[in-house]
Amino acid sequence: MPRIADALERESRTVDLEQGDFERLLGRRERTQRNRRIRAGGVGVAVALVMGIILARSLPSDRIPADPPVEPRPAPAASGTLTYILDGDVFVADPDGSNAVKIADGISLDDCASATGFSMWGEGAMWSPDGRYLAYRRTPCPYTEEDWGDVVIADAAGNVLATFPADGWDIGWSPDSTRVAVWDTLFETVGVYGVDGARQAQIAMPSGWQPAGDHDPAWLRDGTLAVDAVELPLDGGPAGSLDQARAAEGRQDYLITIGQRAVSPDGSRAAFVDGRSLVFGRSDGTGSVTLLTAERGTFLAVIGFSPEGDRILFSKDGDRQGGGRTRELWSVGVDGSDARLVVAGTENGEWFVPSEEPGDIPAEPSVEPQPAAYPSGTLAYVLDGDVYVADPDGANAVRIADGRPEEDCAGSGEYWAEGSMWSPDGLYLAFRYSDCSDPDHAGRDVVISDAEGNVLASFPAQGWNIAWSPDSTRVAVWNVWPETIGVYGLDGTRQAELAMPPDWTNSGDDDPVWTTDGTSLNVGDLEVPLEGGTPSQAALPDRTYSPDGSQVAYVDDGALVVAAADGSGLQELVEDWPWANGTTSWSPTGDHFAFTAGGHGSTGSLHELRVLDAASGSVTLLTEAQRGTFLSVIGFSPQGDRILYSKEGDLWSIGVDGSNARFLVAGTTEGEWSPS
Amino acid sequence: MTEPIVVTDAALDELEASRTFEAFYQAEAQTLFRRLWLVTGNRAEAEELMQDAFLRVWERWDRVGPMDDPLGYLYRTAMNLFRKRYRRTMLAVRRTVGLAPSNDDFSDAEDRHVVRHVLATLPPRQRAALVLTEMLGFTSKEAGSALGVTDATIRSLTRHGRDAFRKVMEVEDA
Repeated sequence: MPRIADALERESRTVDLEQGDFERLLGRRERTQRNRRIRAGGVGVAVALVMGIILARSLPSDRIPADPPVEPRPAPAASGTLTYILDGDVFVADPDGSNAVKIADGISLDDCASATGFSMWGEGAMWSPDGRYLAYRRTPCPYTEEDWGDVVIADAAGNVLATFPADGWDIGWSPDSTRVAVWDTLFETVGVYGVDGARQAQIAMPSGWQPAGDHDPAWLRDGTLAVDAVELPLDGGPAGSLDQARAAEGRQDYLITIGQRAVSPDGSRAAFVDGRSLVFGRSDGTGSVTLLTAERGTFLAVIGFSPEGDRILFSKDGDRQGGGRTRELWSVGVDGSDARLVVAGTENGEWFVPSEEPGDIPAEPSVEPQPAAYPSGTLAYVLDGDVYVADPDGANAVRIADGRPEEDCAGSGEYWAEGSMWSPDGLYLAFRYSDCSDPDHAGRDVVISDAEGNVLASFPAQGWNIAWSPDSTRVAVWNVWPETIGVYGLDGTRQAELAMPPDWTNSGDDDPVWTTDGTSLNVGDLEVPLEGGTPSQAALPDRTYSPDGSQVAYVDDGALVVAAADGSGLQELVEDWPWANGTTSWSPTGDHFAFTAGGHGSTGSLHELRVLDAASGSVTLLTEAQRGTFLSVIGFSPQGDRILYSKEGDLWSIGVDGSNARFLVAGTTEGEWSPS
Repeated sequence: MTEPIVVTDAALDELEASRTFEAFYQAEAQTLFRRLWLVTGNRAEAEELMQDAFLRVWERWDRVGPMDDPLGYLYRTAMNLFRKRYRRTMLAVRRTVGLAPSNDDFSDAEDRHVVRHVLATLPPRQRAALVLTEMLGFTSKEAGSALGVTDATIRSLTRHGRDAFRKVMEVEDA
């Protein structure tokens, strides 16, 4: 039997390139370069454009993206992951202390007096509530009494995201994990910092306030920032007193902070230290039992429960024979059994416990402020592994995500997108991120950001297109292609996982698409209900109606046709339309229908952009690409007066009357105007 | 006296790079075109994709040219472009005018064109997977990277393609 490769090779030799192919390539290159020169000249000069971007970045404008661009949020750590600090180093490990990985290399305090570098240390919570970040402190060595050192924010792999100087001990994570609060100046001013280290607020303590202990700034579960019983408004208003209920919550949290008490993830159980005993019981104080009692001279501190609530992490700090102290992390079952040494040499450690306590989950959706709406028609596009937003004509482009280009990244840029990026309300963008340092380049995280590049969420997923729900509150993507679909909120929380039927066979790499009512997802020929019911045969849109429902477009016997919704007035637009290469779009009001034409059947190279005036039935050739090359319709402007399209690898726009064709962006076909 | 011809170093460098690229193009264009034709079943689209791929390589020739495997980069770029284009048009058509029957070069193959008949039964992605693994010797992982799918998907795609070929070839041999 001949080899398949040989058979394919023989078959492929039946076709040849036409003469003059390199000259055609030369022509395309020259056109592209000319277009780029025209583009640069159209806004003045290229230098002016660059200077404009630089100037824009230096001005306090709403258009200024985070600078440097905000990286996608790191993935959350696995539930129960242990972090601890030992001899000036920071580690993450399995819950039982095994498989420890040093993520920050420091100097032990004993050596700090004579060495140069940093010694890491921490007290209280290190994990952010969502498990994506760690916060700890570092003291410069040689150590000086005056210098508290810095706060460090890193991810679980040890990548440092921010460092900034601060006083105090505990680092207070906000409930939404987006910022921390610390003493800027001990007992005088509190600083609130983003995970990028930018100070967002500085709040002064009331004059005459006296600390009643080593209180650090802390967040209540409703996002209120407080020190002891003093409420610190983030909007700069005067500090006030917490009401009774929140003051009580603050006191409980303070007990947790200082190792006196811990509450189980479901809130029903508590552990606390009573003298030298570790006690477990109901969180209302009833039904307490002593789990263990330390030897004389040893102090216990309770740190927290395991995510399952079945074990307790605590520390021992005892006299060591021959002098000094013995510091150890231990865990024990809630029934007092199976006490295990987790890490020797430290009392600073913590399990990451995803929040389950009802009080930790806001009753309402996340109260993140909505991003400012950008003007409708704002152009978003992907180029060389970066994501940009720009004016509708491509001017004033601002890079909002900075990735590596194709040639550094296995042939596909680090940030990329296929299909629609803008949410239907025009407030958010969704695109993909593939880590170029991954040799297989297999990851394809979903990134959700606002139009300034502030990343709201980043989570691993499969597939290609990202499907925005009609109400812009969530996206659907393949979790595991083609087996399960994930539905995620804007904060990256997975709200649902939908399984495809085991016998479903996909004919292509379809991505999920929302039905217009937002209750189901269409995948290929199936409709998958969001509430988890049995998938059913989808009503495939063999006829697509204009937005006002009065017109319909479809393929009839190989021809592209439009007709009135009742079937009357059928008009053939293209005979033998090469559907596999064709693109079309209805205008927002349905008064125009844009489509590609120019080729016939399998030999067609759709190089013409035509538009149908629905009222008169007249078809106009708006523009055409070089014969032998393709042109794709992307969509109409929100006002319906212009059409965005790609031609020969670049983005263009043109008026619906064929006037004023504009070259927008060179080198990409992935762009989209924001909706109205 | 005639004016001396002044050619800047930069211009000379560009000329040399262009000649090197042209040699690369002349050596590889026909083969890439033919393989893309196997994948797309459409001469116009195959040439368009081939030109797009070469254009991208040309724009980056100062970095791609010195690579150990510029040919691999060319094929990854071409397959990436194919995948994007195929998905975009499939999606647009499905949303706008529903599914329509295939009408590529392979669909009207005469009986004597056994290979074309087999190709006509395979969706473009299966053809692409076969071309990458069978003809170009890509591993499943490399082919998956080029086509944006996992290596397991490549194995699945090629298995179907190989089965289809084996069936008709065994009949032919018998």
